[in-house]
Amino acid sequence: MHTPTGAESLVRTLKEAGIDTIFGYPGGAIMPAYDALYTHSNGKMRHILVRHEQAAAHAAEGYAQTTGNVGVCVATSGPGATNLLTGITNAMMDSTPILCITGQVNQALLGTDAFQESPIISMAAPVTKWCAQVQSADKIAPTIMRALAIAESGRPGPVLVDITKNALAEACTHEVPARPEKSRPSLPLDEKAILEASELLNTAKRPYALVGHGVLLSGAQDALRTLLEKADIPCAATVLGLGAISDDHPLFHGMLGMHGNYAANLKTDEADVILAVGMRFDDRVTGDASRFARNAKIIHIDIDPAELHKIIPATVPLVGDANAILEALTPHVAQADRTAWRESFRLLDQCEEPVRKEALSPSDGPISMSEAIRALDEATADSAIIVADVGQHQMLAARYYRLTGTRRFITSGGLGTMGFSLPAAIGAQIAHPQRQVIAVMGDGCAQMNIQELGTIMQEKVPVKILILNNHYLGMVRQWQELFFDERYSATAIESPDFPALAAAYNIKGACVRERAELAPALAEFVNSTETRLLEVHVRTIENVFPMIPSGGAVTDIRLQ
Amino acid sequence: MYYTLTAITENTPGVLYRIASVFLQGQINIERLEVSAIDETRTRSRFRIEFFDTEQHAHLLARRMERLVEVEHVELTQEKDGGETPQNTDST
Repeated sequence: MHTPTGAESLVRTLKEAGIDTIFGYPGGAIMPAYDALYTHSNGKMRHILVRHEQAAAHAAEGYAQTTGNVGVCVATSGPGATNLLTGITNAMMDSTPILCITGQVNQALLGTDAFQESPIISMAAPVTKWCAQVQSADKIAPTIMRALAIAESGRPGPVLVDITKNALAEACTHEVPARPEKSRPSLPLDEKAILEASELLNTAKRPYALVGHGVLLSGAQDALRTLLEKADIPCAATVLGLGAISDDHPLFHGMLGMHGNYAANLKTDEADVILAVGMRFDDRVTGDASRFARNAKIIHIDIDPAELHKIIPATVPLVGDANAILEALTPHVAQADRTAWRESFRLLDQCEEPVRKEALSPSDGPISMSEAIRALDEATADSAIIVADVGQHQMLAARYYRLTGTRRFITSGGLGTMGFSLPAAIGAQIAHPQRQVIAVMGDGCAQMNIQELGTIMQEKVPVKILILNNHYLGMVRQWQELFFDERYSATAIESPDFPALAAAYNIKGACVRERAELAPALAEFVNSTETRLLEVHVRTIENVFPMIPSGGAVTDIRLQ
Repeated sequence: MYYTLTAITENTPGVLYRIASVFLQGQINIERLEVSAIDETRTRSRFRIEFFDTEQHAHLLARRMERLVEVEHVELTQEKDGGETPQNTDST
């Protein structure tokens, strides 16, 4: 009878856990695992060969965020493992469940500065939800199963399992425990706190809901909408909460934060009760926290107790799953009609109209980044997945790409990782081969993981790559203009001929400079069944407004 | 204020490191640290850590500690006498 190795046990465990896609890059210490994958490469376990391990982690994130399942990435020891760290930190900040499997040198060589040895557990510990090293084959299966359970339980996050080469190579008894129950079962609902929260909402004159990523993670969109409609409560979303309430819902007033909407921000200071659901009062949302929501009592719903009272003290903290809490809260919340309060949002929304008009309908001059985003919005399907990178284009995509239907918006929210979009879009497209997946990036971000064009070529990933080229690191340039006396230090950036570069990877590319070419080029771009790259040359100077200056309060928001 | 944090944890490699990372991230100095295995099977440990901090930070630290998968239980107590005044740290 064939005795399995640790590596075979690893692959079989992943299969038994329902994993069918892995993003990775082979190397010395992880080679036994790749040998076992070769045995199982009969279509049931797809391995996507990335071109850099950072991209493996981001691709796993894109996969996880669009499926709700754990994304898996694999790297070898040493530089392979350290290259994962940016993606791991990104996943930690954005509560994304990914499992990272790293090879490690032989147990006998640990601590000897062996070739490609890195203390990845020490490095990863502060940026993972959990990590562990496995030094014997028998422990691989239970450790992987535990890691998967931890990644997806409670507040999701990244986990890392580091496996020494001897553990992968040696024989073992392959016994896979059942996938364990979630390590922290959801807490019983705090009935008293739910009554307190409902009392606050029922007596509020100006209640306002702040919608975060936790709503999407919990699948609480319907429960939230039901509550908001019943009690007639306006709402706005954080950048990662976008899409939880449809953009065209009458109670929805856009995005919170530094480049969020005018009414959405100012109303946080006017509200008397704030219902914060699955959001963590990030400094980009609150501005100066001491001057945030000065008139409001706060009902804060979060599954992570460490988020409560962290930045903004909660009047009523509710720890637990957002969907369960909202479903319990709604029956106690009175039906209400708050026409005047709603109308006051609409009036403030109108103040932003000149900003929108200037951004979306410039009378002349080169194409604006904003109008390119709006043209993309008009060209794409109701089921498209937009993966935005980091910077001006990201904020403009959040502002001007309308999330209606089943559209999704994926981006690097907490860490702000440039170079996220291309690999994350690969992960999203592989998870959803039939949906339009569009990576939107600036010319700076485009060059930060450009090597992934190789992955796209080899795996024939039909992702669409939209590069909005303003020849600048635009967001930093905007700050230099506004806060550093127009001293443009190191922000002008030259780029290669992107369509020609795409052609070198056998990807069809195109370039647009004129306004009249934009809509037809985008139509061809999004509707192609193959990979496409479209570079749009946009005006070099375009600022994202509204803007809350760094360190300012939300009431310092500027329209120009 | 002077606090004592007691944590019951798994007795596995790296737990001390993770707990120390939480203190490091908060830039909180540890005044006294005791760790020992607490059951016959040596599967659990008890940490007793003493430190100075504000009330708000100490509670946040305790909650961040509870977030660690290996940590099963955390108790935070404020010492009545306020502890000894922090001395100039000596690297020895």
